[in-house]
Amino acid sequence: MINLILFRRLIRGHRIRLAVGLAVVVIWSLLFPVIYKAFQDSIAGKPIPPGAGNFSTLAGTISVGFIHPISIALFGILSAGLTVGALSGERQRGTLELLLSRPLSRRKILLTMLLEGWVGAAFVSLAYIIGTILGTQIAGVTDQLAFEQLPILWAYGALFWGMFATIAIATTSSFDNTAPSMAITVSFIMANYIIEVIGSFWDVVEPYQYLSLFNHFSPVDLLNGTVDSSAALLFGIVAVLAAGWALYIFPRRDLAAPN
Amino acid sequence: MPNEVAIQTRALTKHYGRTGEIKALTAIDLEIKAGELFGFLGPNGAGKSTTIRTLLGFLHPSSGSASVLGLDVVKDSVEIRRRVGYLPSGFAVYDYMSGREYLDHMRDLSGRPSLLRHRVMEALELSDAILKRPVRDYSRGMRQKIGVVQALETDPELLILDEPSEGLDPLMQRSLQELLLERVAAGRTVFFSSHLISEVERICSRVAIVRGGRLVALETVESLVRFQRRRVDALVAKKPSRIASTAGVFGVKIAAEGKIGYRINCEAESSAVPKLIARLQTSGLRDLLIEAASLEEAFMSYYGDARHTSGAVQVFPEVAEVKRAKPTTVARRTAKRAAATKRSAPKRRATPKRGSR
Repeated sequence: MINLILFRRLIRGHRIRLAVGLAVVVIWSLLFPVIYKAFQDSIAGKPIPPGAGNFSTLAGTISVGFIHPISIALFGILSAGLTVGALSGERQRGTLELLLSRPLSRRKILLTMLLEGWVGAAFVSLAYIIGTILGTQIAGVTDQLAFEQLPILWAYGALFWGMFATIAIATTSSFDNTAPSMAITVSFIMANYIIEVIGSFWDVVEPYQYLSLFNHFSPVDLLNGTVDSSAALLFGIVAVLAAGWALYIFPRRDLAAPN
Repeated sequence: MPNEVAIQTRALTKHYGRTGEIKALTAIDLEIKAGELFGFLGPNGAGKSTTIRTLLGFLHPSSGSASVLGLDVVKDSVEIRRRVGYLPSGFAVYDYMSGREYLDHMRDLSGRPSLLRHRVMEALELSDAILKRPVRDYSRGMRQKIGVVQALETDPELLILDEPSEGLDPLMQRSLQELLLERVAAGRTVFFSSHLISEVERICSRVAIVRGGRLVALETVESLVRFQRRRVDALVAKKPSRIASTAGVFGVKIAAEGKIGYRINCEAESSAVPKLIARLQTSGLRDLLIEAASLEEAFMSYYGDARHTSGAVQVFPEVAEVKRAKPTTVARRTAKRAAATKRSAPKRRATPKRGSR
């Protein structure tokens, strides 16, 4: 199904991005429990304005951090960002040809590259949770953290971003250049995010919020023990469809000499 | 092994576009025997790389069929690639790796041991110290050497090399040619495309010429050259007559005339040479130089002939470029060739004895 030699090389090629990115995610995520602790008393009991995050509980604060624009950028870079240029980038650099000259099927190459994206998604989700645990230790609010819910939060985070990594592999397997695959993937993530954010404070868009994949990913509910398995099913279906497209199109494509 | 077929294509066709309007390959029929060193000639856009990429499964044929080492290029592509060494044109590498890491990585992906790495490195003057450096620091020639090593090091049954001499200096080109001859002597098959006609002429047993996606010649180098016109430079005592009317003799002109006689330049088909000499002797032949034809002339004859223009010019601008540039290109190449021929090409000099006149 996958090729471990290729997988090791892919990870090696992205090792600096992964190391730095994961370190940044840990630091970023530990800020939220600290912020919660700092403003806990001042915002307790006050009404939450539409569109604003719920900073009155630790779960709400962690949830805000999970879907904050900076988090979206970090999570995106470390999951979909690993796969968005996987095939088109190799093709653009002219290195795909030598890779394809080895006894590897195109499907095996594609699945190996997809695995890297999922590993990135799993690690970035884990990094966020490690940062959160460290943050609660620093802020002294460990008693408010539902540790038993952290594995399910990690799994949903990995599934959610693994889904975007799969969409990225579907786009990268369809183009010869990284620019269009990057544009489509980023636009897709942005469109979903914007619908979710605008819908949270604008009544006109609110009925369409369900169309956003972000609307189905609710870390606060997961931390509070409300697990929506239909969301996991939705993310899974989207990922399977994207992977199916990639597995269909890439082996059938003519790979003419790079320009 | 000697009678086995390493590469076979039957009416191999590759067209691009929704309606197949771009004809990259049209009905290519090739048969390359195991143990052959086969040259594939043609300018940019002629269809060389398309053929190679189809053989390796990067492109899917529009029609026709092809097999490599007895395996179908569509169904058995992975197995073919297990047994083939490949060097693409414009070879690219992962810049963050050292030369050694890159070679190790490619070898590991191929799943075969590197049997010939040291031999190839030695021939191409690649040291361990060079291989330790990051590939991003390499010159173009150095990268090409790495490409040659990765293609040859596992001693594959078949080598498919697309412009292998690209970026190599003449000494390294010669070393590479010797390496390829070694592999053929060891029973391997080499199929390579090249822009360097002299290189193909020197080492290949057979050659195919493609033009506008069509195969226009498939011959032994010897046969291709044999049917080319010889350039004749003769010094005769009397103004010659009846030479221009000799069948198979073309472009007769008096290049100079003086006290010692008339210098005649012309071109002659090989079959017409004896008759031409006989007629020159009747005019008092004093000196005669017949230059052997080269593969380059054979190649240019396929690219300079108006009969072969169908389709190619519209589809491949490079071919059109060759056609437009023909007079200049030919003139330049002829000058080069004349200088080179004087040094190295076989010559037939006949100075008849006085008594024979």
